Amino acid sequence: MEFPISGVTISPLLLVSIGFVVGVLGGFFGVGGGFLAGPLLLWTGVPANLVVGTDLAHMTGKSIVAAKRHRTLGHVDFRLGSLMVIGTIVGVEIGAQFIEVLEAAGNVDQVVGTTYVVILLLISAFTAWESIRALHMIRTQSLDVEDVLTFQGITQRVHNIQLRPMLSFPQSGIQSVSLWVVLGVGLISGILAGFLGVGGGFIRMPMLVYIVGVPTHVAVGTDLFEIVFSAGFGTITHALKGNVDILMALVMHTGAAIGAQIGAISTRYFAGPRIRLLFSTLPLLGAILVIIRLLVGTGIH
Amino acid sequence: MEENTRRLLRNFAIELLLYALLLVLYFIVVLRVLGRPLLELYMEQPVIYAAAALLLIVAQGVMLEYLTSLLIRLLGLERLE
Repeated sequence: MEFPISGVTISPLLLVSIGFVVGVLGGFFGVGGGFLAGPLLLWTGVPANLVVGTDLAHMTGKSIVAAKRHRTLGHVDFRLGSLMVIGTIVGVEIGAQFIEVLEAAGNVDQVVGTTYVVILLLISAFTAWESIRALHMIRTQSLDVEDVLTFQGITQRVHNIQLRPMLSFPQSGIQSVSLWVVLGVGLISGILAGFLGVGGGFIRMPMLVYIVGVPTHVAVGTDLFEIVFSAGFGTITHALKGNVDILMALVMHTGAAIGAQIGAISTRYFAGPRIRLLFSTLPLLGAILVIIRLLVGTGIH
Repeated sequence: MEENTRRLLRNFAIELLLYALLLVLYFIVVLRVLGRPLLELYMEQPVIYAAAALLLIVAQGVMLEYLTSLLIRLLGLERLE
């Protein structure tokens, strides 16, 4: 079927299936799944600029519901999230402008594709390392004190940066941190969101936990709160640039909505570091799909 | 546990079937009805198209969350342990 807005020919059932797979995995592993939806759309042959804009639109629909759930649980630090949004929005616009420049230069597919491959490989390696470490700790029944201290050391050093204004975030248990650190976290994740069409959670979450020192459950909720704004603003700015096929996003989202519920329910039956180790193969799969697209040049409809 | 797994799979299958029927309806209504007006907005009124795109995806997000939660509640999936 040809989608009239973008002129892309793709089966709606394939879009629903992509949404469903991303939704199940996202719900199961507790991530937005933008880093998988992007490679899958690229693999089907959708142009990279449309992948970025359409993926952001589909993420908006998903994240708004997830953020609402976490707000009910009290897992959103609104003060931290609202300040970070400023950096995020600036970052999203920088990322979107970069896409425009690359599109005009005619190499958007190659640059976005290569960036995806690098980031996906890094995520895969980090997740595998973290889960293997956790499995080792379970086997030996001991805490990896040295590594815990290493991460605490990074957080402490960041908190010691006396770049005014200094702010406190009682809900996250942070007594004093520079505003510029918070804005910087938002800016970096925003650039990735605007450039790759992802929520940015896979980079924002570790930065919130290890750099800003936010407890993990609050980081998850605050990250989703951020994604509502980064994906929402990204949808608007990319739509203005002609990069959003909202019909494709709506169709994809129908699969994602049911998939996310099934994924979330499945977590009752499967959990633990072995699952995280399994998760580390997903970004690897995404990287392989992007490499195939880059090598072959056209996608599979 | 085996009884629960059987119920889980059966209810998933029922939910997917119901959802598939709703999807067919959705394709007919949304893609046919919205296709042309959205294309015109995309070509002629990009600002309104951008606002409409955001509103549509947010509205669908809220609506589908309600629908899938309702289906899961009706089929008793959340009670399975």
